[in-house]
Amino acid sequence: MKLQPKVLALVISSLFVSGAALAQTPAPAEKKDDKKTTELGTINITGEGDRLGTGNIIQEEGTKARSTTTRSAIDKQRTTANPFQLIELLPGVNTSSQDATGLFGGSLRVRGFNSDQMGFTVDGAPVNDSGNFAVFPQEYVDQENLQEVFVTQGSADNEAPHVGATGGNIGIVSSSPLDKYRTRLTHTVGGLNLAKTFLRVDTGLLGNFKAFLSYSHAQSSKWKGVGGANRNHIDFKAFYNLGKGSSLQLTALWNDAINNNIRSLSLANIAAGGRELDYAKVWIPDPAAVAGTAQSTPNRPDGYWTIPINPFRNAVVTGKGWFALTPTIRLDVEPYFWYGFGNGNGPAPTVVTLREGTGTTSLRGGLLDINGDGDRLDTVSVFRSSVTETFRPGATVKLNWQIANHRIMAGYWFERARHRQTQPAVKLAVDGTVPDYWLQDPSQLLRRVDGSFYQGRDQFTISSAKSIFIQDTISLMNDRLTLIPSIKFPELKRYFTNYANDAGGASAITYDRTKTEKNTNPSFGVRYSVTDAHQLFGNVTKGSRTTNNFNLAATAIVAGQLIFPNVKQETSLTTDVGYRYLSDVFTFSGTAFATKFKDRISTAFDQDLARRVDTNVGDANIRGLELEAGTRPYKGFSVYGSVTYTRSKMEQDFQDAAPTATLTNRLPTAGKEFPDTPKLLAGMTVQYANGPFLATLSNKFTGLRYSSLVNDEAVPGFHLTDLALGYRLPNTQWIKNVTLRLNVSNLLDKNYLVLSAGSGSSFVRNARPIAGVTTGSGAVFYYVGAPRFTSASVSMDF
Amino acid sequence: MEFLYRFRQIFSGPPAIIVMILVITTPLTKVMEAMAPKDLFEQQIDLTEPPPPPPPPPKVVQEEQPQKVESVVPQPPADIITKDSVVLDFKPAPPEPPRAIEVPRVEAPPAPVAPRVDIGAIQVSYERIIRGYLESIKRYPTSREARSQRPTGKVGLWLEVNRDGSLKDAGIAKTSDSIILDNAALATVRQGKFPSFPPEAYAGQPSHRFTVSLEYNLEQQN
Repeated sequence: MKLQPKVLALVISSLFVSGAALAQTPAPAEKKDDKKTTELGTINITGEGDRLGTGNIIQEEGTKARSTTTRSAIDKQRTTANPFQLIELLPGVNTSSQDATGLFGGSLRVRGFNSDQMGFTVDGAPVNDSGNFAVFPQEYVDQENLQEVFVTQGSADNEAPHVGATGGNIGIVSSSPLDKYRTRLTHTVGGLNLAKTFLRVDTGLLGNFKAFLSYSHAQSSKWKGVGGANRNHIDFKAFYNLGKGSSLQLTALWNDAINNNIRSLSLANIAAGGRELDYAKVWIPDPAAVAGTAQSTPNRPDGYWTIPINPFRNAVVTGKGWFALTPTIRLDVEPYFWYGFGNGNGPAPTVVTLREGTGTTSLRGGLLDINGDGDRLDTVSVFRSSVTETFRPGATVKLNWQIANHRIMAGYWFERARHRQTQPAVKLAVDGTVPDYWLQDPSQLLRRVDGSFYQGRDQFTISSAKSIFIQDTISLMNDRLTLIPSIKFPELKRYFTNYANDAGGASAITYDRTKTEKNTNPSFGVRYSVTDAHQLFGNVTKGSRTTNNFNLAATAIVAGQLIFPNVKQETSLTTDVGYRYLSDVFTFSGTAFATKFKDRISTAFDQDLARRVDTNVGDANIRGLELEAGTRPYKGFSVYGSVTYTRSKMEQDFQDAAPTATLTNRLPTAGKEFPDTPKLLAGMTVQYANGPFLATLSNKFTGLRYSSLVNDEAVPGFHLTDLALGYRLPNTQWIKNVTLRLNVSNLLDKNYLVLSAGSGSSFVRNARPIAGVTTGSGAVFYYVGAPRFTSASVSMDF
Repeated sequence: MEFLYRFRQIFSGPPAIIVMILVITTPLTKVMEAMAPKDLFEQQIDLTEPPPPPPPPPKVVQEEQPQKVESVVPQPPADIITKDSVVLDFKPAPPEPPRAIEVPRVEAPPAPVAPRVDIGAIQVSYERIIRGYLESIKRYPTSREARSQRPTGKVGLWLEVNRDGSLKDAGIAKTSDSIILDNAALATVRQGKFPSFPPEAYAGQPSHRFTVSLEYNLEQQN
């Protein structure tokens, strides 16, 4: 393994011999002869200028498929929008949000890969959960401070700091501090008590320094049921120019949010209770505590609204040092620190009940008397949630080096995440409210007989990730041809400890395990500029995703032996072949892609272990076509559109349980499509801008999607139409850039369903029994699409 | 139920594709490209700083000159043909801005009988074409690295162009201290397809050296 970079370096250095010697040094000394040299003056290149139009496409130049939503498009969205919503029109992206505001989160799949199979960064720092790679889009940078969100659909960028990406990556980039002093105030109001206030102050350039600090508060009610979201957020960014191409940058983000979940429903739930069915609004209390008799809890099929809740605090601090050692050598040092603390329970309407006393699985004498009736015989309703706390420092160090026509980037990424996962509980108040939803108050937490805290889960994982990467960008044929060979060696070492806890079985035993997963991920990219306007590109990249930390936990204990799942990394091989047309008026990009997905992880029956565990269930193929095009404004109009065709196919059946005399229990998944991966996606937006007035009308079509692994349930496709209007008032002496905005989501008030599936591996296997195969089945749960929603905002600068 | 769903997709999918294809292919692009040139060039001027005055600036501008140039074109004297061919060679031709044409032609009209070629004017016009061309292909780099660092700076470039318009060589005269921008600037010039020299321009030189600065900035949020 360690030899391979050296071998690669040799190969790369041998390429120099053939490389055309195009000096990047001043011209050979010549007499300043006016007749021989003509000065053409200065040409200014200012970002995208007004070539953007709607702002959903830029003129990409890479060797793989990539799409970007720029500030210009972000600016027109509702101020509470989360990054998933901002990229919904881009090709390959299948995203949904639990409500229109974006404060409650949402789901994302790109080319069939779930968000936990993709790499996410905020200003270069990875933000996927270090244990299971989950992503929570509502936590990140405020919409007002976003510069852009980009999607690399097929495969993660070589230098991207991920060990969990079989799919592509998504980068969230915050905006830079302004050169001029400015104070901006934005206020948004809308239906469902939506209110967001945002304040940002830019220092402007103070010598070589500039910075901004922003604060926002947002709140909204749920669109159905009782409850809402409440979010406080701070963004900070400072920039110091060291001169000569070197600079320092510090970005910090603090997010403190709590939201009640929106209930997901099965088709049967919807048939019985309608699409607005949510958690119960009325609390059915536990029976009065009576000493000496065993009380049980009432049946609460609709749960109670206070209980499915997500309190979460997180901070991301990213430093960047870019040091131009010489004009052709640059050292980038990018340290970061991620902190997250909070808890969450799923959308199911569950009220957890715990039994006092000494059951067979009780640890350390079992729970003390919870309801205070003096006996330890009762079953009592409690609030219990999975608490997680992560400290996660890391850094990327890379060297960029231009030698003749070779641009070499070599670097090292490492991080060490300390991830504590517990599951304490508190007694619910008499009226069903949660007294301490952060689950931190020792006086309220439930205890066992010996005084220790009850824990439904008690685990600690240290995940040390690292990656060595090297990439050469070779320019040939007067820069018309670019070749990018690269390789990276990601490695993840997990040190997992299970502390004896109250979940019973194997969890009642304290043990620890280590697991190291390594991979070698090469990539090769080509771009050829046929003319200035026509570009061809292609890329082949291998991706890999290490296993989740919970795969290190024992699934059972049999005859005193702990049973562990035996699951290996998923890998993918993704090929992009594409064409781009780039002109001043029109930009087009089309990519044909194919991903060969190996050792996909899913919960299945393991022959050796004779039980259902997370295991590798086989291969899959995903093929498709992504097209996108955008125009520059013409007579005020600009258009952007994207179309994605995806054909996903699982290759093998898989064993769901041990075969019996009458049932094979081998699920017929071969030839079936990935769940929640529509064949057709299409996005389109039309913008009209005239002087101070701006209007955009956008539509996203999501085709039919299957909801189970054997494709026996599906939800129909739907169109979702959004409208945004903006008007800028004339400046006055004190107040400038006063902008009014109106955003309408789901303009046509369409009724639709989106799948609620937490991760890439947790799909319902079959929604109904299959004769001769299995008599079991599972209900598929969906989020009901949020109805029409309107909000208005005013923004002004001082 | 499932069959209904399937049909739904069939019915609702194709219209989206058709709309997309329409957008990509026919009318809009053609209309826009046809419309683009005049509109486009004006906007580009807006985008950039006012171009520095052409080398021989202190000539008197006569107001009626532009028309005169145009009236000359239909029955072309030798030098004009060359100039035209230059323009044709050059593909995404931004048409010459009318306001600039007046300058060089000042001397021609007084002596129409003797078709004396104004070398200075031809060279200036050629230089303007190169400049306009670079304007049309300039691009802020969009790599992951560039989008994350968002470097700004000015790159001084030299380029040696052969008489036939091919690029002999190019290089960095003054670095921006950013590898990203230096490379982007160099790529802009290297990928350029330049028109061949008019015969009169840079007489006796097998190739000619130009210098140009590319200044990369970022728009500020508003």
